[in-house]
Amino acid sequence: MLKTKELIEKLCDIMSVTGYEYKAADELSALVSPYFDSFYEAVGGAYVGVKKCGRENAPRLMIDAHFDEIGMIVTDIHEGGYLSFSHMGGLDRRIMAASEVYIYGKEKIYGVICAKPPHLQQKGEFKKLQKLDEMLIDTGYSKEELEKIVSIGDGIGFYEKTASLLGNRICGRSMDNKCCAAAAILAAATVEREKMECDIYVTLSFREEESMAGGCVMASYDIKPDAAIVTDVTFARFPGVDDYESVKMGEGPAVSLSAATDRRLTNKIISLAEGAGIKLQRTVDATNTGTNASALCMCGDGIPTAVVSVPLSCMHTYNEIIDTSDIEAAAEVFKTVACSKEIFA
Amino acid sequence: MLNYLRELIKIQSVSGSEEKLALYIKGEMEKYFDECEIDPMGNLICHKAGEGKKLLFCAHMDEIGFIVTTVDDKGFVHFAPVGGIDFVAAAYSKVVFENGIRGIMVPEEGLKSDDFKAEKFIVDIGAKDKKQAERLVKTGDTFAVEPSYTRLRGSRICGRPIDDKIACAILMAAAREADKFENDITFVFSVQEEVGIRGSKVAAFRCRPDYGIAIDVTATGDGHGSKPMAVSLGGGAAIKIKDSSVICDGALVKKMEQVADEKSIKWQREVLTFGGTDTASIQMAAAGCKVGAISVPTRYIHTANETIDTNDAQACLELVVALAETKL
Repeated sequence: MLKTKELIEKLCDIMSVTGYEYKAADELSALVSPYFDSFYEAVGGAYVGVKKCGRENAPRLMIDAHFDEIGMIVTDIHEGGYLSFSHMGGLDRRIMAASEVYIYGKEKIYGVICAKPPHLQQKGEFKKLQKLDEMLIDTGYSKEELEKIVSIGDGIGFYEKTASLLGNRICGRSMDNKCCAAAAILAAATVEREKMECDIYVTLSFREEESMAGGCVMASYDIKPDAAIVTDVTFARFPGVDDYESVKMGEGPAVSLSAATDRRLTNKIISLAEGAGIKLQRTVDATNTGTNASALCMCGDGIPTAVVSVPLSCMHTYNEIIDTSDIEAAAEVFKTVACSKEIFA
Repeated sequence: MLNYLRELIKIQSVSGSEEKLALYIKGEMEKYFDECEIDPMGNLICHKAGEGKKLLFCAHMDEIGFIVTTVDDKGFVHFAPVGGIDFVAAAYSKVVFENGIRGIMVPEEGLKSDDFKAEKFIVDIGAKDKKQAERLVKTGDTFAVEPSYTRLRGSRICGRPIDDKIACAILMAAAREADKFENDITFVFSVQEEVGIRGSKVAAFRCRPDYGIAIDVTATGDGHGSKPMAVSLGGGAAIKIKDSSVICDGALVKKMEQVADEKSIKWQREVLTFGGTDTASIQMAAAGCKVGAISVPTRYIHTANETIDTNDAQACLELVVALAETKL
């Protein structure tokens, strides 16, 4: 098994901008299929890793981590090698100017989002937030050269490089939600088969950032899970963020208390984690968790669904920060759940 | 029916925390129906086999309320709303937590009612500090405005939550007439209607009915400053034509009106220009089904004093029974 940090880094290096997740198939399969009994792409939009406990008709636990990441899409190619673009998922416009990006055309090319120098700005211009459709990416190519490589509709992602901070902290692009994907993979890879009380289906699903009802929905009709845990990122506390809307980084994952999540399943997860001595925080998402859980719980004739999230700061930027100890703790939660008799009782 | 209503009102069931109420209703329904089960989302699904068409009637168990987000240093409880809360109606009312703890819902001092929103409110449970408050109330606990039931003049009553416990009471009372049913009848007591008509969707997916009929409350046009609307309190069972979430099946609506006339049940047509009910989610579950809805005309919906005419509720009850026993 790879080290947690290394697994996350490798997952982050795989481009999977919303709408282009299909491009990840080969790289992802090579990286993670050894950890599962089977690994396949479900038609509706999810990579599915299965680990079976070996008993017939065992209950099925689905662990969903969306695999798509925010990014952009090429909308036009201009004279001088400039590209117009639109968003795939929710971008923070404040961080765009001078950002480094990769354009995933016939080959991967580098670009920088244009930024007007302060000297040339009109009075008060810096106070205004530029609209996305006014922004351009400078590629350095001529229009003719660029058109040979890039077409309208190609995907764009932020510069892909993870970096280590002090201790267990790492930062980079697409930690949302590759770090949670890593937790799910880690759990399946390291759980002892003899102790499992269910079959595990890890879904690395598509299109969460655009529709929040992504591929996990379609995949669930095929898997028909008896229970599901959606794992996604949540807001880490930092100065200026209220306590009630954030959790502490490095203090373990958080369960969501919400009308959209199943209270019985959630309470069982809390008591299992407490019993196993795993640190678990709580978040309150009154009616909507803002994750795949909101759609998943209503699939078919209903799936008891809980949310286990990981604190992340600088969300939806190219330097999302997480703590790998939270990922490992989340994986422990999943393993404890998969090995418990009570969950499906 | 009203005896049921009084009991149901006492059992708190904020969206997502309906289990206790489901178990109570299940206990009653088992006396009259063959199969009663609680599905993965928490819906109570009760089935009485019959020869005719498959009819599903649905009343939602959940009520609007609040969920604790955090407790501050002064021991005040902060919260988020669950469902459509009118904070003008909620300000300074007494609230009750699931564990029986009581408190008062208080806006920031000097706050104008135009600026009312959840972040500006706290619940004062009488705790002297954070430590004491946290012993009584935890993050994620749900609570609601205190329940009540008051008789007004004549056949009118007010209280909360009438929405939608009156409909649960109607179905429970209808179940007592189960011997008369000709059709294959399922009563669904659904969860999470108030937060996006969620529970009924999976229940309908499971049951695959031919016809789906939701029972819920609707607004009226005869209140103080009401929007123009043909529905009136005391005007009878309201047969829904449409609301902003659904257009009911024309043939089923006609049939419902016909059955009501045959049985001399007082009814009125309902066109609601806002709001939605489980009708919409039932219509679009699985491959879809024909839907209609029977509504209890209600004034002051989502306040502590939702007001109905019990004669209307009685008419709704009679219409449910009439549909269950009529060949469709």
